[in-house]
Amino acid sequence: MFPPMLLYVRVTAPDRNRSGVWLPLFLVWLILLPIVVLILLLTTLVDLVLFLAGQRYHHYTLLLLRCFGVLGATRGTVIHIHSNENDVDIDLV
Amino acid sequence: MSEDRSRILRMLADGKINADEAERLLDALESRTSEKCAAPGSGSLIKGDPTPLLNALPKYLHVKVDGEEGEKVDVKIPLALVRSGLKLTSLIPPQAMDQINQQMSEKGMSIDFSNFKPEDIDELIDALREMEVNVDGAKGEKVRVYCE
Repeated sequence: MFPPMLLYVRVTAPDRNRSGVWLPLFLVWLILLPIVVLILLLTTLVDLVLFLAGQRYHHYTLLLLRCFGVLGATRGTVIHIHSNENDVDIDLV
Repeated sequence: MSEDRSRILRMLADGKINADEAERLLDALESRTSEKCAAPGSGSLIKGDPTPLLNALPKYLHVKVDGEEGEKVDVKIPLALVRSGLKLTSLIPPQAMDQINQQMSEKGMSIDFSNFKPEDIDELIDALREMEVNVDGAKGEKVRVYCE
């Protein structure tokens, strides 16, 4: 499952003036990708050491992967806030 | 009575689906029938076992809050996020889990996440489909939580 690629934020003022912005999250993921790969390598190493040392918990790599799963599952989240001053819509696409 | 309608009612009578699910299926059947009238064809509308269709129905958890002064907050969360979040709890290191459980019990929620098993998570998500929480405040504020 891929993480959200775009974040759409739209603000509507009482005079019906609309302003929206598409934030390209995929660029952030691209920038973070080398760091994530490095962290995954590190956690794999830590897990291996913990396993060899006989520790019961040695699932840091899996934990990290599940965190990415949670990030991926945020895709499709929609938040709509309406107040007397303005409306705000946030979409994770 | 159409073949599909009678099959849904038979499943309800057999206890394979509950009344809510039957109603949703009948609604879906009705809307499809009207679509079919616009573009006529032939044959059964629901082919095979409709259980996967039922399982696929709720995808989002809705949280709607209506404030006393007309403010509204509407949050639509994919159920996949709830599922992933719960699955993540089974991998949290024991030391961290102990602290989480302790903090939760201090706040009055004595849920032991370390006892969550994957089959429990699936059961919990399934149960969420039937869940609906409606809270009406004294000043007219409303909170509604449901799955769709």
